[in-house]
Amino acid sequence: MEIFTYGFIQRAFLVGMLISVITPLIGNTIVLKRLSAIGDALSHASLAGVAIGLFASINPIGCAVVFSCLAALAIEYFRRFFPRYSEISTAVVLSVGVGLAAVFSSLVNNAGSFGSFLFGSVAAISPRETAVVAVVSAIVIIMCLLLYRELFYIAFDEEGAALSGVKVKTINFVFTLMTAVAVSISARTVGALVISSLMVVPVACALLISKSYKANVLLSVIFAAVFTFFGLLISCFLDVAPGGAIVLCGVFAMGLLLPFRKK
Amino acid sequence: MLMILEVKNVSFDYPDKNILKDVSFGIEKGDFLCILGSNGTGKSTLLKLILNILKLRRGEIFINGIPSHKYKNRGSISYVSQKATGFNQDFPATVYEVVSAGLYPSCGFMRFFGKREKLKVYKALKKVGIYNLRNRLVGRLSGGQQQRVFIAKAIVSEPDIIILDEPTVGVDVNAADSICCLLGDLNLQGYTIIMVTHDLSSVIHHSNKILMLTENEPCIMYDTEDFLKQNISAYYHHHREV
Repeated sequence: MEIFTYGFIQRAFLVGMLISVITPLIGNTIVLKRLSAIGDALSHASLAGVAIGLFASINPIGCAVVFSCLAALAIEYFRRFFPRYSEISTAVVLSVGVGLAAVFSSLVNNAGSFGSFLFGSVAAISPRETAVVAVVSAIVIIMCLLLYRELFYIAFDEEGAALSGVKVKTINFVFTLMTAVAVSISARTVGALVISSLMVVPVACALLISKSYKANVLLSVIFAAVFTFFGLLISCFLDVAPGGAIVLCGVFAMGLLLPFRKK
Repeated sequence: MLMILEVKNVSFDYPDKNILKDVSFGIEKGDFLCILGSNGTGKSTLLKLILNILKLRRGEIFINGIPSHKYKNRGSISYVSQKATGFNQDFPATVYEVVSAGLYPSCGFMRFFGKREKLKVYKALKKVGIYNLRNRLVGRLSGGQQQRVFIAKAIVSEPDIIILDEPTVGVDVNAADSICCLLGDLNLQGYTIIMVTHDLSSVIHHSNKILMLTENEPCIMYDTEDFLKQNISAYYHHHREV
């Protein structure tokens, strides 16, 4: 328990817990709409933003947010050109993100700093970043609660939702931007390469046992919180990257849950 | 008497094919209209024009006397699509959750459900006879039960008109008969029903009007009794005889 007396550890756990609430809230809609690859594309775009931010000596998280939002808009834009192959636009944006991240990271002098964004870092979170994560998390939680019925309806039957008067295009747009911001601000703690897994793995665990949409949302948040807590603990004690530890905890739990899959 | 739905001289064509040609008909509150026709005669297209999913280019459609493109009361028309049961069967939604989604048009944007909405859902579930299944995952139900869920979702907002596109496709004969009986009961309770179907034998004794769409010919509206007397099935190429 002694580790919790350190300020940076307290911040890491606070930020980790906040992220563990917002990522499955977003992940539920993404997984149920079968758009899991979007998380990957946005996280790679945010990584490109981090690399460019470090290269240009401007706030890397701010750059990640901007790049991630631009990537979200690009996915929607390219989708119009491939209406029957919507995953192509996601793959194209992911490729651009990887390309830019690779080029600019090789130009960055402080490689260690860039590395902390790949798989997360417990020690790197500043009080200011903690405040930003808290504000963004509050916005995401409020939006997900207010749009709970709309997000359910769109995920279940997008055409039916549109017919019932749900503003599907607007909500999809707001949701994608929200995802982009959440992915970017999570990059520091969990790591840009692991954040999309944190969106998917807790939801996958919940899907194995949940017996309603509401239960799925609640269970995925609980799972994510547990995985994050133990992942951060392991990271502190073994001095390994927190993102990797969190996701491996999740995958391990999923393995344990498989025999209990609902019939 | 004011027509609840009036279709006037509606024509529609896709780039490669003329679908509807000068279709005109009207129905009153409490009618049960069956729309018949072989594949490609524009049955589903006609429904989509009524629902404003497709943009009307020629002709006019009035709902309660208001042009369909200006009709804002979405809660008064419910739609059970042909693809209703084609949803992701592993989606973790209960029957209750799916049916409550049907309340969206009457509740609106960013609104939470209270006790009143819960009672409305229970009432709809009881009307279609699936109250006991309310906590079951919808993907785990049979095709017939799933179709009842979507009918409950359609009636939960107490609409004036229920529009169904081939609701008996993909369910066995007994389930199809049972769904048609349910629609007949709902019609007797005052719901106006418009239904596209190929399964004429199940539904004919519940409907009171039949609209026949034929390729490149004007549509014909019948009272069901007249339709039966004229033995029209002789030239209606159909897999089940009336």
